[in-house]
Amino acid sequence: MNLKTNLKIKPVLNYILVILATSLGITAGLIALPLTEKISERTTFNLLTKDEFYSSAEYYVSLETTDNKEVEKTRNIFFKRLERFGVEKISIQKTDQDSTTTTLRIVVNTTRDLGFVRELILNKYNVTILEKKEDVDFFENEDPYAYLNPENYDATEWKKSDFRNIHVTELRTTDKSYSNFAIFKPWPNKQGAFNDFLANNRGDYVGVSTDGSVMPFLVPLEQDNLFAIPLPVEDETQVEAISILYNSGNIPTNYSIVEENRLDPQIIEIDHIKISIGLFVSLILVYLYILLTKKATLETLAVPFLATFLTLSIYLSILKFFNIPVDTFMLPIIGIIIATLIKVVSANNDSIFSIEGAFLVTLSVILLFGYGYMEILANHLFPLIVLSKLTLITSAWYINKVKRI
Amino acid sequence: MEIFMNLWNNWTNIEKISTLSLYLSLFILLPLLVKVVTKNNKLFIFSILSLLSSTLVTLLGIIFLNVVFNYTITYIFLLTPVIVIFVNLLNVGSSIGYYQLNKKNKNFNMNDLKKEYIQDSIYLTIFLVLLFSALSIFLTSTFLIFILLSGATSVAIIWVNYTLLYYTVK
Repeated sequence: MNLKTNLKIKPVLNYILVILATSLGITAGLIALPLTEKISERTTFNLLTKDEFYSSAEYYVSLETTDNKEVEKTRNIFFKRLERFGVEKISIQKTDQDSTTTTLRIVVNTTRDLGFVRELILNKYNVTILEKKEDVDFFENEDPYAYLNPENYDATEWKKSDFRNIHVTELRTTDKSYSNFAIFKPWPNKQGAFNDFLANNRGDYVGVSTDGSVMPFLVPLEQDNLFAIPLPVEDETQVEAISILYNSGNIPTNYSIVEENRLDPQIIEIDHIKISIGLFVSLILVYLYILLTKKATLETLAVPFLATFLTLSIYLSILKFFNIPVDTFMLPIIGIIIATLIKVVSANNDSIFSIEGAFLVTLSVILLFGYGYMEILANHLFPLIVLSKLTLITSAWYINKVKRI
Repeated sequence: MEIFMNLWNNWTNIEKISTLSLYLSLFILLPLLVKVVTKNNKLFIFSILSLLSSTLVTLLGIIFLNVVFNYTITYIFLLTPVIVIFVNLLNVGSSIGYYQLNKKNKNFNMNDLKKEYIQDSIYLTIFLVLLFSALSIFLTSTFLIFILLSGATSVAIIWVNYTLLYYTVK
């Protein structure tokens, strides 16, 4: 007896792929649903919203100057520091001025740690480089901490503005572990003079003074122009804050915080459960209306609808899966932009290049110059545009396969 | 104008420079992109006017909200121009794509582009009106006002664009 199997591999593989794609889509949809833990104890993903992490504070900073240029420069540096640290909303206003001082009111509304925010405002981070006094010997000194005493050093001409960048990074230490260091990189026109300065101090101590506190550096005997100061911190946020303080410019005046108060955080409260349901219901209603009024056929609507559903589901699933905190009010904005983009692109195949190109240019410009929520929105939209492109292709393939089955 | 003057005076120089750089870059790069892709001066001018009108319509929308309804403009409204720009890109981008595909066609003239444009604009308007209004049911307070303003401005800009296209592209 001759048994002849008539099994064709390609259709079977297609079936398997369609089943796999269906299950992946359903899984993404289920994870994206709000309060998934109510459905199953095994899936405890829930959207981590930023709302509960917001805190707000105001700081009154008294500057020892009335010069408008110095006041503006100081305002800019405070803004730069807070913005780089990721403070979502910053307001810095000049509130008062007498004959010698100017008062700034800094208000922050943020999910970042207010302790660090305060440090970024409080510390001037005035950096100068010092030379050990010739008559001082750290090794034969009664004081074991003599190398930390600023009185044992002489001032030099080198200050923070002579360095184009103070790069904070991890380097390998002599005991083969890793530590954080601040590498001082002079401006190209000052590199030669700085090398000479190091050459003159080979085998001797120089000090880096930051707001009066000294960190010693033993200039190596061998030819090495790497000026890397160890940082006694390991916490990532602390390292980030120090890097910002080093690289945000020089505050031209002395100042102090004279008053600080905690404020009620400003939150646009949106129920993310309501809004997630609302977004999906809105999409269904819009597509149903277009279908029922015969403004488009089922064939032309199926692909963008599925692509929108998949893009938003995968996006929400990723946010939930990786516990990425999100501002809930961003969700409807993102939903509207992505749903409209997918609908327009799918209806205008001839315009894909011009629309997506323009979107990517715009997002790049926003990422380059934007700040606050504008930048956060662009950060979310950039990967979503790539994802929407992928889901459009996948949806077209999927619907084509399902039709054949 | 008072709201804009207050906002401007309270901004640091960095905020002012960043905001100006952002919008200037968009106003230069996007029309340049249109010029490079289409090599058509009329569409290039149309894209510049379209971006300028987006700015004007958004500003008028915000002033209207503030003056007529005495509504306080908060930081969230800084996102309205972004939404409007994206809608504008979708609207103008679809016509640019159509022009690119058909410009070498012997029977193609700019009236075809206008016809295609009005059709696209109708569909986009229906889609946006439905999406914004369906979503608005689930929103309250400041965010509802923000969504309504962004939706109304976005729809308005589609038809301002059509008027501009009608007069600039002949």
